[in-house]
Amino acid sequence: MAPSAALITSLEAIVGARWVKRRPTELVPFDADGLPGYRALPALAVFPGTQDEVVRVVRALSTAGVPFVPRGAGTGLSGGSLANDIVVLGLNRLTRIVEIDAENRVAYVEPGVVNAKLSRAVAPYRLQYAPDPSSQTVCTIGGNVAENAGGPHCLKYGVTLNHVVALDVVLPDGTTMRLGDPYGESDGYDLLGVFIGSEGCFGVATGVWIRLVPLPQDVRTILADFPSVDSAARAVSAIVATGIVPAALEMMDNPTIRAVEASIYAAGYPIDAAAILLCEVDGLAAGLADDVETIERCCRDSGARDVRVATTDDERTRLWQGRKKAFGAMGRIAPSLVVQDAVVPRTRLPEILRTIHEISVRYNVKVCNVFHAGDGNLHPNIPYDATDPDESARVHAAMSEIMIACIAAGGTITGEHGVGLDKLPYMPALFDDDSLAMMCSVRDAFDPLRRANPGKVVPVHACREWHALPSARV
Amino acid sequence: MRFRRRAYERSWRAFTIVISASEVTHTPSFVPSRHAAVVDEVAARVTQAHAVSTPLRIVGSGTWTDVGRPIHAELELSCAELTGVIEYVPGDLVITVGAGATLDDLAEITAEHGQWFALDPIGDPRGTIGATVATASSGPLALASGTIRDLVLGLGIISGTGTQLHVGGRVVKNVAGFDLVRLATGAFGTLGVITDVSLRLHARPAADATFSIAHSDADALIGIIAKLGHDALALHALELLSPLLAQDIGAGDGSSWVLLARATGNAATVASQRATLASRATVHEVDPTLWRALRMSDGAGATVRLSAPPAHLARTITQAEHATSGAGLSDTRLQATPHRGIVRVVMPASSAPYESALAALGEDHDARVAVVVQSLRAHAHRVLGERLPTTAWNALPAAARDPVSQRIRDAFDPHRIMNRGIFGEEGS
Repeated sequence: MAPSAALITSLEAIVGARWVKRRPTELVPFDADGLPGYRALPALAVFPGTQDEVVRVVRALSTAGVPFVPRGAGTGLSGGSLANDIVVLGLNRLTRIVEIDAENRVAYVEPGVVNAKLSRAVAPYRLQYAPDPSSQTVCTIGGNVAENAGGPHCLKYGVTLNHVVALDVVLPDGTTMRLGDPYGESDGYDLLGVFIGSEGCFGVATGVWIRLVPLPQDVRTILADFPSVDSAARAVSAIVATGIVPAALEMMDNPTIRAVEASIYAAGYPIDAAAILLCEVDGLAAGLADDVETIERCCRDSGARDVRVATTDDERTRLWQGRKKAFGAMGRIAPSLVVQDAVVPRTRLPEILRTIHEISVRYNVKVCNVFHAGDGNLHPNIPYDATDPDESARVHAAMSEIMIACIAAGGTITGEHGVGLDKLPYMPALFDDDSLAMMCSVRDAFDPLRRANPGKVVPVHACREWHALPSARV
Repeated sequence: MRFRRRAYERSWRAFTIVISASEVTHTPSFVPSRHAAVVDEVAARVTQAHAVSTPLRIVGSGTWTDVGRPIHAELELSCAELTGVIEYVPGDLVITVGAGATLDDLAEITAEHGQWFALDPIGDPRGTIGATVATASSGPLALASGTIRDLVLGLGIISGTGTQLHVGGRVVKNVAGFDLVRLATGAFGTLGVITDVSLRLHARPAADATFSIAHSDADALIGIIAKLGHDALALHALELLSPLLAQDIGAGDGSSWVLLARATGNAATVASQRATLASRATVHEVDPTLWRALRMSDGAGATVRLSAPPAHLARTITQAEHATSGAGLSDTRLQATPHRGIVRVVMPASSAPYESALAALGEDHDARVAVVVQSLRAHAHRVLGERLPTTAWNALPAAARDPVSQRIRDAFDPHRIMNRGIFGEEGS
């Protein structure tokens, strides 16, 4: 799609010529996200600098009838921010933390604010923004809202949905709306709830009202070392059954441990362990010692070889850095990495991990498991060489079988990364036709012309009357 | 997702819960095939009603039917038969039940495994989970466990055309597809009938204690909450009750405001929270059944909820007091949820003679409530009606009037047969 001269002129008038990128060399940085193997050059990229400019850009695109993809940092792992020959609406310039209302524990931020920066900004008030995706040093709040992002600490604190109290949005037709209420209850439909996690298909958030939560008085981080994946999974169930809600409960298998320990993020994990659990409890200082003792007992009773509690902040930071940079560490193994995301009921973890192992052997691929064990959110990752067609085919076949196995176990195909393009083929295995068609209808309520992030999340064929729409043909 | 009705992991032992000495005896049972048949029957009734545009009123156990605006319906659609456990694997901390299961059923079933559904919405616990989800009801436990919106994982819904939908799933983290669970939660049935519900459960904490602090002055108690700062947010529940409400539930003598605080965790956590509270005021440990009494106190009169920034709680309470006393409703009960800035205002139809302030209104309680609602709308940040006379509803704007909401309604229920009128959107 070649954007019309009239559209380019009007976009340049809104944001200034330097913020409208048209040359292929300028557009290459926006031809992919974190999903390997998928690249698509946008037709144009536009970068508004203010909330008002975002609204005017969306209106100009609406007038021109041009489809677009809102984009934050592009750290998504499902291909959701790919814009194949359509317009990228980049929100990275909107980086203001507009207001921190510490007394009411609310902050108002623009969508381009980086996740970790927000937590740093509110820390002086002893507050935090709890969702902490592993990409938190670069990913943006707007992107987090689009994906309903999670992170290790969501086990206790909840995902993005639980931490956003209102959104200022512009719908694809240029209408502006306030969804939710920063300071009160709303009636009517929970449009805020359905907008969060809509992967850019419902419109663009121009402002995000965040619910802040207190920083805990104290934190304990525990590293437990297991001789088998099964015993680690048993410990997870035992811990959760005690009534303690750990702030995080993460598992890493041996291939992941080895990758981390061989990298600059070496955290001191035991490289001969079949699996480790990284468990954190936080809250009032008074009860933590008892919780640690209970968790330690659960781990030992489940067969842990060793249980260690971080004694200093440095040690704790190091243990976490190993976990959060595990994906990066896998870069040492092979040039490409598929980071997968699926969820199974907690009790099915041992069984599904065995199945994944069996699949990896059968397809001769290396799976590294690093995941949020406490809520059954798996990340089976496969390092490989995307330029090798044979290996790529085996990786994709293995991933597909893993997804189907997770669905069969009563789980789902994504816990925090979104459907994007990558998971589209699995949607009909998860939802019946009527439910998929209703998702399409709800999208139409926000974007009747289906111009926002077209072709993502719900398979095209599931949407009735889809073929009647010209914007669908991208 | 398609709900897989796996064999329940242990042999289901039918049991009987006697809810109170005189009344209902309810027997939930695990008979999924029967559940599927009932869902089909309900769907057939909706399909039929859709075909001839007959408006329906959805009814759960009927404990809360006076809530919301008047519904214009020709037929009642009962969900009472949609009971039973569809799937419960305690180790997953997830349960799927028919929408007609009551909150008491859930409590009973999960308690056997040391678990609970950590939600205590105002109202009779014999109310159904379907109604709780439809009305997005939550209670004091939301401080730590979240609101109903945070606890519903998946739903079976029959839309206004009679189509069976399955949205969300049975796992605690799920971002597959657009989140229709959020839309149906709090939709007051206008998008369809909820047939089954998957819920996130929690393991029961090892220690659980409730404390009360009394003071004649609400501001003094609000001051204590402010001094507790973030420590107050580590509690599992914290509610501020006006003197009459505290007296109603046996938590006070009618002269003092009462702060009820619930601490959970391990023994050391609870002891430290008690000590923190005691460092600010005189604290008494009280009977935890007070929380149930508080829920059951619902229904005593016309009810609105005010919400405003939490830091403005004292002002919100004053607004409620002024508006109600100005209308001569001196026996109003107030329940404040400090961390959310919410004040629930209950205006019973008084047996005492009205004060002369609004003599022109005579003994007309409904008219006085309408005056209160008008006054609150003019001064408070947000006013939401719960249970009001029609005249008072007319003082509040209709919900879901925006074009997006209207299109969503049309997508689920094109003939608008489900609970028509409850949002005030269609007029009479």
